[in-house]
Amino acid sequence: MSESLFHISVNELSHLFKTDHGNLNAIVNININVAHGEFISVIGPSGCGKTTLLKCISGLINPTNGYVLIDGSEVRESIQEKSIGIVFQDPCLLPWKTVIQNVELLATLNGQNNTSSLAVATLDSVGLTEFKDYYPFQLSGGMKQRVSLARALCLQPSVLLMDEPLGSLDELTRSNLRHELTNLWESTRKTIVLVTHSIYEAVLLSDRIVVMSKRPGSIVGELDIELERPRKGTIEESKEFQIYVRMIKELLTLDSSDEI
Amino acid sequence: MRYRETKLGQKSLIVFYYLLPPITALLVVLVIWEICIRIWNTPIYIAPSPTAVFNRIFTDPIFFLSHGSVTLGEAMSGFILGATTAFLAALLMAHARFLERLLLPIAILIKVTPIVAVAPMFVIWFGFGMLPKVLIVGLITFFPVLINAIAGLKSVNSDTLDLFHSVNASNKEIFLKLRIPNALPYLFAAFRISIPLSVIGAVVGEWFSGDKGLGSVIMIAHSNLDMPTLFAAIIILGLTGIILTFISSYFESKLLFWSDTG
Repeated sequence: MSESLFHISVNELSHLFKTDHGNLNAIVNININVAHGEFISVIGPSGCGKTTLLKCISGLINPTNGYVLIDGSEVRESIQEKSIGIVFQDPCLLPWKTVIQNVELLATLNGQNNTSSLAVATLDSVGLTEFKDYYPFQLSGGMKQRVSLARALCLQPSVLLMDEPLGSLDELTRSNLRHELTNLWESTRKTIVLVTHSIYEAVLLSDRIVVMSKRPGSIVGELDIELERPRKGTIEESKEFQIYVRMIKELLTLDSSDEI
Repeated sequence: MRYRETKLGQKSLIVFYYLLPPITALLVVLVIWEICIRIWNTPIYIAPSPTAVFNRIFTDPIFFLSHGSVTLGEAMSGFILGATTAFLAALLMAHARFLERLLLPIAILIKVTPIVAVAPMFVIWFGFGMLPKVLIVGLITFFPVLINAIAGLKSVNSDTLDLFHSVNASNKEIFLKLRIPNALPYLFAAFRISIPLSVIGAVVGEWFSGDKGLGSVIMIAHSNLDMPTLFAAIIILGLTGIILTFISSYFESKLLFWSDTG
């Protein structure tokens, strides 16, 4: 199975929401292939179906058309093998559980044994060891999101799906966490799909960026980001970085001018 | 040392700000009441003075204690019965929408029927003992707990629910680890309504049957124009309600320290 060429393979994916006001095409004919250990970002205007795409990849939504393969097998089976970690914009911590209990819970439900030592280790990797017995209401927004990341890592996923994980944080915390995410990826090389609407974030973090159109979301273009790694904080001032940002902007505006 | 001082200072401040005003207000009301009774020389079978009422309580405290504990016992047993049934029903209804459509109309029917209208029937069916009172209390406390429990079980964050689904959590696990803890603040909010209702239910039940409990003390005192006894029973009922609410609030703050609703 690990011989399959792509880690994640999204094929002709379309999804239609049935609402009271008729059908709503969220995404249309999406094809994406993600290699093992690749960091890929999906960017697009709000409401373009990025989240729907991510939920299809995670197997939480059964798409109307098309299919998603993870390691060559249907995602619904992968969910059985429990190899997907998810981080949402909302940290989704259970307020009645401590930090460490939150990190452990999903792993325990996942049927993993000896989760406590793993939970301690993942909490350590996001720098929150000393806060392990705190409750979520005692933490800042950035710390909560780190816990949420540790919880996903505690599942020992081969695929990490992130839906605007830094979306609700202040600029300073955001930039710190961005660099930590870069470090984390560079040291673990997990396959990561990040949904974001920050061009800057996408360029800084990814190997490749997929740009989506307005609803119904389809792919307008893809761009390989060939900035050298490890990426330092200073990289954002480099000329190449600025060029990538401009190219993504053009792809995004191209789409909106088309529609008008 | 400094810390200790500020701590102590804060404590006396809390007493000053939160306890002093209501106690003062209560004392003022009692004093005005006493003065009015004395100025107008109101006969005791119309309205007793506070001193007469307290005198009545303290000359025979055992009388009020024994009747009070009967009412308290009925109210608490009924509340436990009503709240438990309501919670179990809420679990069923939150589990299957079809069951909610099936059962909720009946619950609403129970809610809108005045309890005073049903009480006499219960006496015919269940006799003069404790049972009809417990059932009346159960009926009156059922609905607030049911509605809040359903809301609490259902109002879980959809992303959190997705996370549970992403690790293939079973329905049972989702209820135990997510929905039920999530419903606790809603339950305690319902208790704040249901606990005072439980005392009302017990008294209404006692009006219709039996000779025990503060409800029947009120009925008998009323027919004898024994106003000090009647007032004493009312005051003790009020105190019971306050104490029960305090106990519930105490457990709420201990158990739900994480909740911002408390």
